[in-house]
Amino acid sequence: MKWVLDSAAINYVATQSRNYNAAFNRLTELVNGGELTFCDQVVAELERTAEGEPGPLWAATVKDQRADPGATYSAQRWVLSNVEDIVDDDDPVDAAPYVVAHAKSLQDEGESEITVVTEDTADKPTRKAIRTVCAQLAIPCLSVADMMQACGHQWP
Amino acid sequence: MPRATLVPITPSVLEWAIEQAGVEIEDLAKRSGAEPQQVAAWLAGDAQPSKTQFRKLVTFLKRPEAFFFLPRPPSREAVPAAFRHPPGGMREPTRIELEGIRKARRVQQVGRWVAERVEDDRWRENPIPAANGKTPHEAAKAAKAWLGWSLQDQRQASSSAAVVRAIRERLEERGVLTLQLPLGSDGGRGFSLYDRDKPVVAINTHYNYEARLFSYIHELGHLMRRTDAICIGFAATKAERWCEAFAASFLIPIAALRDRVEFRLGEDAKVTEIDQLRPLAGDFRVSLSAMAIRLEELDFGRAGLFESIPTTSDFKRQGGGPGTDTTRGAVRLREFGEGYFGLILAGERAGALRRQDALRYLDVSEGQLRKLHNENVEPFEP
Repeated sequence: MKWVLDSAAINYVATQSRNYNAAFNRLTELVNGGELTFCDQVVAELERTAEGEPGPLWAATVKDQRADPGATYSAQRWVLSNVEDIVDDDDPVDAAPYVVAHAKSLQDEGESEITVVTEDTADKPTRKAIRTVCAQLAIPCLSVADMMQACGHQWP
Repeated sequence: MPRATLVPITPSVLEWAIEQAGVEIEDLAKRSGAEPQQVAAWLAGDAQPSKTQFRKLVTFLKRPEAFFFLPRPPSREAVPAAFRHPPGGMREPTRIELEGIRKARRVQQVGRWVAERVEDDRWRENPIPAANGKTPHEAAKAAKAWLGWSLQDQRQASSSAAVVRAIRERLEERGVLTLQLPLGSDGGRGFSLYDRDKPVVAINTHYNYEARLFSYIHELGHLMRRTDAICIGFAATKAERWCEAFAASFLIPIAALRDRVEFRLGEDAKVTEIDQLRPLAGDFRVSLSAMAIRLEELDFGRAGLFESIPTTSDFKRQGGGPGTDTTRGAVRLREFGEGYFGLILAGERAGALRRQDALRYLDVSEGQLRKLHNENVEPFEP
């Protein structure tokens, strides 16, 4: 099992957990064990939308421990050739297409049971939600609460 | 030597992005660290950029990297063709203006989407009056009634900045999204994007408050004509002339101007010097050039008065005023306006937008938004 987190999920852990230090410690264990990852664009988006908050601080701390930094160009092309409206044309920092493509890259590399963890669940005026796109592409997708429970962490 | 990683972009998407940004191939090549012939080869599909070249071109064109992997360009134009090739012999917009138009179109798209979900239907209850068939004077009267505006609002305000704030507030209260964007010293005074539900006016912050006031009303004229318009320089088309006359009639009514000229210079006197012009412009909170044009038009000023005004007289002085908050949140609030901020936050409260989306659409961080909230800035008040 490998989890691919988006920025909304990381922010959600920081804002909704009763003890975000404990929650992030658990996520760090998963990163170190190669069971959890996120792409570089997630780090950049977090720095813009949650600068100085616990989410980006955690992501910056553990990013060098990740097994891989993100999606290949071919996986990005594949995702966009199947779902064009995952990209917000005017937002260079939105990480959504790269999160989905990252999961696709890992699948292509033969990793088994790749699951996207997202709180990006509602379509918006400028693009579809990550959850919608994962459903369209048959990529498994869970909420933070479901993922934490699956990892044996008491949530929230 | 290891081979560079090449990036498999879609040529037609790159071509579209270049055209919409109003960028020259030579300029893009220079900014991407490539030769123009290389860019031509990318566009023809005969070559692909290296990773470094790709990152540079993405930054220059201000698009997400993933955008260039789309199988085809978007069907919707980022900037209307009428804006990219304006009528009446006006120049084509600058790159900064095109970026401003893109930003305004996005604000309009997001604003309309949220307004539908929070049932913001101010436009339905009190729509912008239509100009159809009206003279500029008649339209100005209708616009004043619509905005609840009187000359006293201009004359009794504490400063020109306060008048601009007041007119912006009246427009926003009636559902018009108002943007104040840095469109450059060589940029136009403003532009407008008509939409029944979420009309937008955008004003160039390079100009001083007096010029901005005139531009707000000028752009309202375009909205009343139910058209999109970019206003580059002085009246060059029939529509531009109509809007100039409309704004002049709105802000500098004949009878009031005659009174002020008589009060300051005596009966039947004509304004001949800039020193005489200055206090009159101050009386109505308009720019020297707007006042000069109005005086000449009504024969209250000597011919050629407008030409005698320095071309930079409508530009604002460099640097923010004392106490201007230059933190990102405050800058975004001034840029997007309280109307858009309020709408996005209402969308979040109603559950139409998640917090992360609201932050992205306002282009601020959580901390910056919290700071505005703690300072009780208007859109955050209950």
